[in-house]
Amino acid sequence: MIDPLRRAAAEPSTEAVARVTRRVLSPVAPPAAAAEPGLAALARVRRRRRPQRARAWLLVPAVAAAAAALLWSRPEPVEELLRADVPTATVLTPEVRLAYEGDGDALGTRDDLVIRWQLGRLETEVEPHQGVRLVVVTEEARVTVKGTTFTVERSALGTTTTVRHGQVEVACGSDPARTVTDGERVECLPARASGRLARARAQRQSGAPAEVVLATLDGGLALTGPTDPVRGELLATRLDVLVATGDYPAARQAAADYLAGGFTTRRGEVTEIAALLEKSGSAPAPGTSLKTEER
Amino acid sequence: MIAARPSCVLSVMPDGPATADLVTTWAPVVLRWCLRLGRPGIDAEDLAQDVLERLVTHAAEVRDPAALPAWLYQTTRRVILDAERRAWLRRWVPGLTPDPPDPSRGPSEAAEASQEVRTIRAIVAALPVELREVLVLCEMEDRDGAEVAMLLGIPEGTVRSRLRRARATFTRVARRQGVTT
Repeated sequence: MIDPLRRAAAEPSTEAVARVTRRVLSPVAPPAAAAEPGLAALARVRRRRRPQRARAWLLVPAVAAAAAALLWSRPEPVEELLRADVPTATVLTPEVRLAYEGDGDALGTRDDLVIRWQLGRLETEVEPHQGVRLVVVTEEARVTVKGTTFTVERSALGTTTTVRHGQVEVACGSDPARTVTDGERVECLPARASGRLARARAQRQSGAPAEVVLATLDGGLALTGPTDPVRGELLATRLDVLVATGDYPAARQAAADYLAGGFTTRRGEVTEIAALLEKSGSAPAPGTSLKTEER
Repeated sequence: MIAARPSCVLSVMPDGPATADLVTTWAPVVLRWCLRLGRPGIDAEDLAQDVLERLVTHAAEVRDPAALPAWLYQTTRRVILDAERRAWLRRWVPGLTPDPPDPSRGPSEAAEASQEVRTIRAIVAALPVELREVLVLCEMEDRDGAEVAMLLGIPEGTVRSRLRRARATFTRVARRQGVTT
């Protein structure tokens, strides 16, 4: 083992990993163009056969009037990409104002909007009593609001909704919606195993107690199948936490679970730690750990 | 048993949310490979994004989940080498200039690293790719010979011989440049 190489090993930062993940998984679905009546319909009416010509002529002004009425009354469409690396304010519609730093998009019409929020902080202000329906959707949460100022923040820890004024309904995953009012905050945990893994890593980086991190990891494991690749990462991270806390019997079991699962990504490291735990009957050498953290 | 040359074979992997899980799981690993195996001037985040987008497109073609790490590593290797070839070509074709990494993404690892670390990384980056990758996978990532052989799709004996040559070359160059080994 050449020590300088270990010292020089570059590690990607959490932000870099989040950027790459976000770019790969960003939705790219513009709304389908609505079918519009217009000249084509009028042309089809004109091309009818001679015996029906008189009736076709009568239909033309009726179709034109109907098309005009439809176009005139159709709600104004909204389609906007929300992507900013610095705090940015925008007036999405006269009734909806946003301040955000992160990644998402807004689709719908002026009175019926959906914001799909991927990552970062989004603050919204909705004019009350204007009949505007706004829904903010993340992977973990669905926030429905009418006339309120609230913030949605999505990070590796999950989605947090904070209401400054007014009232929103927040549904976390498939749980029933709950009402959140002035000054209240609700946190929706990541719904998928990979999200729980990211939450556990973020908790470790912020210095959360080991039992909190382990609870997050156990929640993630409950969401995985036996061959799920994320399961291997969750088990490896669990092993790392247990070694760090000195719970060596549990660490030995975590190593055995990993190796029994047939996972390969960290097999070498886990095998080495398992051997040390078996051989010494106690602690691995100081500084032994799996590279499960992003720095 | 480790296949001599794993092929991308065909069992349908789960789609939708499970594919997103794959991306989230492998993004740190792929980005780490791009940082450690790519030469200076190559944007590791762009390369990692390229690899992961190929994973999303071709995940259904990888039949055996155990073959996925090797598929991912070999895709990463191809993407890195393609980028290095393009960068080399730009240096020689009039009017083309290499793309520097995006500075707005924050301080680069190289900028924060000490002079010794920068020297070590430069030595590794200058090695031929066959020696560079075994050095990175075995020495920096602590993978054993069997695992590296699986990732690279080569016999374990070849991994050992390349590692011996890589260590010898690195040690010789590093000592000449004043790095303590």
